[in-house]
Amino acid sequence: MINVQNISYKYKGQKTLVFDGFNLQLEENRIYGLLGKNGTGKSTLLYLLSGLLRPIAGTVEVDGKQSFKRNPLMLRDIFLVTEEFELPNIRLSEYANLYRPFYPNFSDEVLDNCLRDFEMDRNVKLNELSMGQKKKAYMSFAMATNTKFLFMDEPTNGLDIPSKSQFRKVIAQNMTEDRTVIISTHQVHDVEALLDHILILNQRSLLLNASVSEITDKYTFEYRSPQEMDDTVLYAEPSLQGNAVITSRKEGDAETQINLELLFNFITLEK
Amino acid sequence: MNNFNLKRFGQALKCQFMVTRHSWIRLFGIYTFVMFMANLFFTRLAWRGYDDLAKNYGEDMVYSTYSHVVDQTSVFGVIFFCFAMLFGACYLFSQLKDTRKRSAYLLWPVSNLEKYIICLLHSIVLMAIITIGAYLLADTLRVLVDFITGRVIIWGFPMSFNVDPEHNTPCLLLLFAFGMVFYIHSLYILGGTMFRRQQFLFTSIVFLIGLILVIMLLKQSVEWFGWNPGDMVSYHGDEYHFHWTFYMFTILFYLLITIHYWLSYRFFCRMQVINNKWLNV
Repeated sequence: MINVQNISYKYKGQKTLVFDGFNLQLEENRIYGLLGKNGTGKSTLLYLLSGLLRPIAGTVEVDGKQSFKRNPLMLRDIFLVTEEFELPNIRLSEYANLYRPFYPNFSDEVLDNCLRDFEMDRNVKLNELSMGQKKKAYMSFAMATNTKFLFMDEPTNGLDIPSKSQFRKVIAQNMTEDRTVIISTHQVHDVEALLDHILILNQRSLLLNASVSEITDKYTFEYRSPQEMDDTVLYAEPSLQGNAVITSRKEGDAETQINLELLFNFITLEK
Repeated sequence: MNNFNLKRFGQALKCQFMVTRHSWIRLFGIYTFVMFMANLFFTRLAWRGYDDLAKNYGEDMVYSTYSHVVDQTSVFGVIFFCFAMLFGACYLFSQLKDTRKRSAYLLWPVSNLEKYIICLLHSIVLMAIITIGAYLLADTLRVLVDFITGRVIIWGFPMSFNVDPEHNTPCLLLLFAFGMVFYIHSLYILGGTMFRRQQFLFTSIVFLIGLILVIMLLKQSVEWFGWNPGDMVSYHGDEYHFHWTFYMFTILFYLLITIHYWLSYRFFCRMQVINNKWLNV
């Protein structure tokens, strides 16, 4: 479990705090979607969780260990797929062989399955791959490490259309009971179907911290024609299919599929 | 021990070497090229009298004169080695130069101490091996060129280790000299850890300013304390006499070396993925 308690953080040389008295608890066996406008601290939060940044106040504990100490026993349970990364000038097979010993739960089977899903093989030379292919190779390795905590910063950026659905398949297939995945993204449609918990960040605080089932219990997401618009509509946006609306869900109403973009705009506008 | 596990350290050292080997091979190539060019410069361009010498004098004369010329290449080799070691010390954390590399290295499931020692071993031991290897190869290439062009074969590399067998330097004096050399090296290690950009330049500036201040202070010491730094060691007859200040400075050097390494390690432990613009804090 990850426990963020009352943290404050600001970057060196900046006056404004990115987080101020921020609290968060992340449970196991969940796929969190971390959403927020630019500059609200999504990547900063991932860095703080993984120990790459040290809060100026408060604590970030990963399974009871302070993350900023970067204890190797904690680090072997964490993998962060950053938005931009650099891979060495070697083959993926060699990369996997060299880094495998540091991840006790590393699975060759998972690596091969993920690579198969992404239509790649182990023999690829990492420096000869395109950005999207590098990302797929790196994400396959990340999945194969079987770390307890997997953080992904904009994982679908740079992926082509088929790769985005392959990405969803890879995540869904390799989700285990003791694993926690956090996906920070602006490309909400790419991950909408994957997530089971939504976190929306806005200037130092959490605007929303709710499971998808809580959200779909509370709201319905649907399209309505202008004639169907009434007082029950909480938020609406015009679209080609009519107005995309959020309404309060009443007893007996059928559960609807979450529309993350609409929810995000609704929540951020409301606050 | 959680902070240092020998098996994990061995795996990490191997992993880091394998991952960075292309850049080390490239550096080896650059160093060999630079030293080979310097060898050719000293033996072919700066001194062009070989043909006249070979025509007019005997083999002994050619051998001894050319030995002096080749000796210049060995002096250059030693200077280049010192420069490479200081340069290597400053680029101790070259794998942490940008956010992408830093996040990968800091998140590597290896303890801070192991990561730090790996960086040290690469920047000191590997850098020394590469520089000496490049020096040997450059010398071999120069000898090969000399052989092809009909010159006498004189190796420059062994000349770098020439010591006067008549002169017996006491161990204490060697300890002091090594202390001074390692002190300067440790200063560059600390500078390389502290500064985020232009580490070599900034450390050299700080070092030179410090050196000027120390020289000024030592010059004033005669006036202020009635103590002359030259009195630390005196040589009477066949014996060296060491003043208590000599022992004090020797201990001070080794103490400062330890402090520099400790500070450098502490800086590394506190390093974050996004630091100050100029300093790694």
